[in-house]
Amino acid sequence: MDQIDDKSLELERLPHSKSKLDQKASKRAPDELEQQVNERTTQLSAINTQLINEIAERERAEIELTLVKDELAADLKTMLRLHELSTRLLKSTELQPLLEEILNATIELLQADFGNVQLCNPQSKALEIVAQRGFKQDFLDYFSSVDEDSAACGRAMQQRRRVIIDDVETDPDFAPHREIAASAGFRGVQFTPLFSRSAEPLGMISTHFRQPHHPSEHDCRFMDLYAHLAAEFIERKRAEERLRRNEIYLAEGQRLSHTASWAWNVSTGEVYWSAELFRIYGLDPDKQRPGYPEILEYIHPEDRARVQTTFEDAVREQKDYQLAYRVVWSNGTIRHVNNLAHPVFNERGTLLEYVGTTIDTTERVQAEERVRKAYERVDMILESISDNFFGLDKEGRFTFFNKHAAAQMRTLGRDPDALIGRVAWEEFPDMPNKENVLRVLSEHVVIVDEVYYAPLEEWVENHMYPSSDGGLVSFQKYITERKRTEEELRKTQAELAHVTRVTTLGELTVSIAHEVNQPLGAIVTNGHACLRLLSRTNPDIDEARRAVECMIADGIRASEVIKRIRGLLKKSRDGKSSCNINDNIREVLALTAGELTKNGINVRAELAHGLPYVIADRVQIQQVVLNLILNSKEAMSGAGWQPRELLIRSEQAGPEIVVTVTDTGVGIARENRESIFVPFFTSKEGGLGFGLSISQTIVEAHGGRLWTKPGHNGQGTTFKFSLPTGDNFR
Amino acid sequence: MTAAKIPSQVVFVIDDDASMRDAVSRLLNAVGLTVQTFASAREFLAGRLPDVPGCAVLDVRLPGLSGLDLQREMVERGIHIPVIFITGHGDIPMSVQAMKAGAVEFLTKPFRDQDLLDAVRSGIQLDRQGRKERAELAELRDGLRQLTPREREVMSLVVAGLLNKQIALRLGTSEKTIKIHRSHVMQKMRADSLADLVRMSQKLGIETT
Repeated sequence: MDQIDDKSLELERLPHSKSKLDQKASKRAPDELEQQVNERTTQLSAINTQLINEIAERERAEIELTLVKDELAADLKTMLRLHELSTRLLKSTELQPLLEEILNATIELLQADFGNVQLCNPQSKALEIVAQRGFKQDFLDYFSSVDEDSAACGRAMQQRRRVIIDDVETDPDFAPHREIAASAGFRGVQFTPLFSRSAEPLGMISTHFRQPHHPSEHDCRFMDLYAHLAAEFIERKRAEERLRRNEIYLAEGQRLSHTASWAWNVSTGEVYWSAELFRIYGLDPDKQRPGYPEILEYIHPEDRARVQTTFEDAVREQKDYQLAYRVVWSNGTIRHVNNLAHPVFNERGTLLEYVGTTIDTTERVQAEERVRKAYERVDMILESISDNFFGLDKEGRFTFFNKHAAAQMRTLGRDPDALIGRVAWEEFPDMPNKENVLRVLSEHVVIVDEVYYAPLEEWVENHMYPSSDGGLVSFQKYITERKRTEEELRKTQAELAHVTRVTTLGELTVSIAHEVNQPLGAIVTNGHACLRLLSRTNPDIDEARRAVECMIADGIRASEVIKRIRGLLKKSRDGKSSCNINDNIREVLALTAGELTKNGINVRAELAHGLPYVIADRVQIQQVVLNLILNSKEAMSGAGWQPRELLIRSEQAGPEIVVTVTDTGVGIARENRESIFVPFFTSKEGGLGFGLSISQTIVEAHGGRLWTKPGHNGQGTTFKFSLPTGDNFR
Repeated sequence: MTAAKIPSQVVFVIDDDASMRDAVSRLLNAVGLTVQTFASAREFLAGRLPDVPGCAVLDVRLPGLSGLDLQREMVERGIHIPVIFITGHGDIPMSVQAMKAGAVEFLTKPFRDQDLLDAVRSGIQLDRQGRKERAELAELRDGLRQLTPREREVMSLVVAGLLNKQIALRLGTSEKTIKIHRSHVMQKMRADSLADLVRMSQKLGIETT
């Protein structure tokens, strides 16, 4: 300004000097004057030239001045914008509008045509456009997410420096994206990456130019300021977000864990309560915020003195403390809390404050109480049951004995307490049901077994259940007495079955005697014939030999009948073995053939081929068949009764073999259908009334079933019994 | 037994038990008797029996028609073959019934061979006797059929022991006429004497009045 003023002063001076010259010229001679004029003209011309030069210089300076002025004004505007932005940054909470503003400012600064801001996704590390100006959707879609190593912006991110592309048409690096650039309508572009203070990549500000363009150093410097501002803002927003989230997490965590935190400034008495602490104390954060010792008011009177002493002692000794006590709400609700705190010191070792956590343990205390009561109850039950009760873990180690089980261990000379944690079968290698125990543990099935345990000289029944922890619990009963009773019952039943069998056979005596007598008669007669043939004057040796052969055959025949009878008469010794049901049916049919013939009964046997074997006591099964056949015979032997057909059939039905005996006899009166299986029920004269009841007992003891149904058209009777096949026998 | 040679006598063995049947057959063969065997009563009844003296050895318990049933059936059909029962289990009521029905013998298995052979022999003898008696009776009946009603009247009064004179008075005719009738009767009946005629009339079951 000063310079400008000087020049204008000089210019003002010029006309003034000219007028002085004019005044002098009027007084001098013409030549001299002319000379003077010439000189003066030369002078003036020189001055003029100088002046013209000066004017040009001045114009140039003025232009320069204007330029500088503009530049300064622009810079000032930029600075003002920056200042405004940074001020806003301090106040603003929303990231998006601010980024948009920065983008606009940048576009203006660089006199760009479009631009966008991308943020670096913390998870995927990809750049995502969050603010833009001037782009169409196809561009936004194309660059919606950019990986670090693709595209030019990715490269800028990777190289951590600004990338400027003057003209996308000529820059080889931009070749892959020329099409989209053409579509978006830009030629020049610059990418400025944004980094946090810890050099974490945050995002990118890009500006785009319709014409090939290279931003100036000056622009770039200001650009950097904006970038820095944006980075700062993004970073701060992220930090705020993290903090906010952490606070939410903490509050949520405190709420869920019923854990509150607090701080108590020792010198000022100022307190900090987390939201959860208010909940725990049942207080409204807006109304009450008790410090110490007011807080004591809220503590259960029985606990108050103890809390006070412990707290004050801890503060005096500047030590950590832990307290469990009860909080009483104004409505009388009692909460159990556990309070842990420790002192915080400054660097000089002066106690500043106590910080602590207060945990609401009410639910836990109540749950513990319930569990304790449940345990007490279970213990009481376990102790009161008269069974031996013990538990094993999944490795087979003893976990528990009730008092009876413990007593049993002592009887065996073992200390029950010492057995806890020891593997059952290692401690008791003679354990008779180890396989079942292992099965319960491995297959998690319930098994009930009966075993004789020699060291105790007792039969025991074990009910073993898999427990939820993979182990088992077992109830054990002494069943020796029951076993004895059962054994006696079994013996009695066997005895009864035998008696019934003998009685049944008694009914058959005549027929059976005939069966035996027939071959005996033939033998004797053949013997006589033989003697006569030999004692003739001309002995017929051939015929005599034939007679003897017949005698032998009949002898065998007789012995087979006897064998069969003896088989049925002998006492069954509960010897179950695999046998063919058809063989047993045939044996009985052979034995009863005579009796059936005598009664004019036609027998038809339909025995299925290839039946699986059954596990059975042959004698007992034959007894059942015999009984059913004789019942049928009985039903058909009324005088003049016709027809007299007996059908016996065997077949497989799923896992069972079913034997059917059908007759065409009188049938069973409806009112008797229920009672035929009852002992002592009989419709026969001289019958014991045991046949069917024994038969039923036998069949059921074999895991089968015996039942009856009326025959065809209500005539006759059908009896059926089933036996599990060998594979299905248990 | 062969079809070509008609035996002088035959034993029918009816038993469902093959070995018993064979044994009995063998025993009878051994003493030179001809035997014909049957497995059931029906088979026997359906068979062609040779018209020679014989007897039947029957098992009491036969399938279908029993031994006792067969015996009854034979009587009904006029088959006069004597029956010998053999049984595996002789029970008294059954043997009584059999004997009442005219059985020759009731043997319980096992039996002594001689007992069976004796029974068979007496059975055959009985049959032979029976056959002879039946033949005689047939002859008498034949004679009786040739008599006129008056001659029958005369014959019944003669065998009742009346004299000719008494008969003539009873019938209202002359003694001489009676004499002629009487001689016709004697002639037609081929009677040798009065005693002979009386015996004949007894056999024929003519009632005396």
